Amino acid sequence: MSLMDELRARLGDLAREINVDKNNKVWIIVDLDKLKNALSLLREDGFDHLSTITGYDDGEKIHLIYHLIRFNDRNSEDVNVITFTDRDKSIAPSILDIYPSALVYEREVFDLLGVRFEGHKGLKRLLLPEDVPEDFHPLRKDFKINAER
Amino acid sequence: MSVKIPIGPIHPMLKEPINFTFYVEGETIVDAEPNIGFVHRGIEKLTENKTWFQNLYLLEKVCGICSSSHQGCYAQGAEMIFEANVPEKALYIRTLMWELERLHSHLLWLGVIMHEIGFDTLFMYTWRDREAVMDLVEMISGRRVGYSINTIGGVRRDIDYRMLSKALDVANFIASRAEFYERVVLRERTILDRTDGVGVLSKVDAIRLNTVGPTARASGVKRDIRYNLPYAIYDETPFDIVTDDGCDVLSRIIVRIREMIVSAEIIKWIVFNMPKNGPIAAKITHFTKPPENEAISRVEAPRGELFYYIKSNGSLKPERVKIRTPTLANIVSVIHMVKGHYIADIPPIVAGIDPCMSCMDRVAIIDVRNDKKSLFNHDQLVRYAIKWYKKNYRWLREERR
Repeated sequence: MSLMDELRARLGDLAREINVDKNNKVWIIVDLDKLKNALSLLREDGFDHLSTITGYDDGEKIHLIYHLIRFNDRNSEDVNVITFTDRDKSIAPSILDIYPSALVYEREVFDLLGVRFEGHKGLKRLLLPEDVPEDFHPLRKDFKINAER
Repeated sequence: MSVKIPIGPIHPMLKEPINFTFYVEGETIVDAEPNIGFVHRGIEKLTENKTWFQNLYLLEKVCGICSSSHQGCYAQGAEMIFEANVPEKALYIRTLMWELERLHSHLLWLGVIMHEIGFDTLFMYTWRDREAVMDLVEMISGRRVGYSINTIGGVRRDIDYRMLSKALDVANFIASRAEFYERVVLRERTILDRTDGVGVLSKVDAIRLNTVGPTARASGVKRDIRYNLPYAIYDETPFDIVTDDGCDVLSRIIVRIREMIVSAEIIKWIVFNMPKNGPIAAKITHFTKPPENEAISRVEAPRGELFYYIKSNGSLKPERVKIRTPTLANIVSVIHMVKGHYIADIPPIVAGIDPCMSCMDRVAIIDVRNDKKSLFNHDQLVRYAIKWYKKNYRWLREERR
């Protein structure tokens, strides 16, 4: 549990909660305004690999999950930072200055879930064609497809 | 144009389209802009409308070459959600398929990169050797592509001693061929001229841009999910991470060839340590409801770290499946790699990260100085590159020294 103690000491008030699930995965819940501070602290601590950004809409709010890895031979560790953004406003800070690889991941989340990342220049659709309507975000839960046909 | 189900992962890995815009000054590239999304199939949205078991066969179709990695990665995540005890023998069979997949994927890629630089003899050689692996895969699973061997809780087919002895033969054969290829690649002038010093990605940049897989390891980054975050049986399997400090396309070739030798060793180890008897799957039926849970599954696919995030809401269908494929992670690095290189170097650089063969189906070349725009298709570009190198190779060779 040394990783948990380390994270608790390092993040302090920045993290609302730090949990470990049954599969030994660490989940850090942070508020949206503290996200950038928390991520840059983690980046300084060696969590320099951003696997991806997962966006998930639960019908009330949009979850943004940042999956990080700290590589250290056989003792590598991975943590997941969760934050929530409002479904109607759906604004989040861009983390491009901390993780340059977020370039495509933020565009993907914007494309499919409509989260606007503030500070991301050139935020445009990644996967869908450019001529679809502006409020067309298919991974949102109110977007229905005709599956049972 | 109306698109009905427009969600899903992008796979510019097989013969699938991607569009780059390169900004050039004379012959030198100053910037590049990839444009992806042409083969968007809405798979992530579709998974929410199919049951846990139907998704196994849907997600296998994400990629034709690394189908087992995708299916295995999903099954591994689903097992965490179902809290299943996977039998040891199933993990061994699954790992065997993963390693065979790595062998045939690397052989395919080696042929493709040789084709890109106009060395088609080696292309024929590698694709012939690849058939040995494909035959073995067909013998084990019944199919050459899309093996469907994984299921949630284990694997679907048992393995017998005939398959194991053939696996041993194939591993020995591929290892000896890989040694031959390494000798050829390091000595053949044609290959060295086109790949040495081309597409440089420094170690610092590879870490900064979160490059994954053999592309990162060719820049000296010692990162391999099999080793760093072991899954299945990799924590007991003895193997080393292959790295190279060349940072160019030549090192990417060398790393992949040496990885084939390591994979052959792992296959031999699996054959000798495979449990003789025992079940091959835990009991999970189509009507088993999982608890509410979420899981993260990572697998080292042939091209790098493959990532799945799976969330269940307690019903027969998953709530959310998120896929991050290695090519998407490496696409930012490609922009970085091509800067400062010649137009003629585009085919080996872009093929160097192991994307699809027709990734550059339509390349727009814009000359910054006179704003002339011309469209090349892939064949034209390869022909242009070969012609350009024939004309310029003398001073280039001097310059690279």
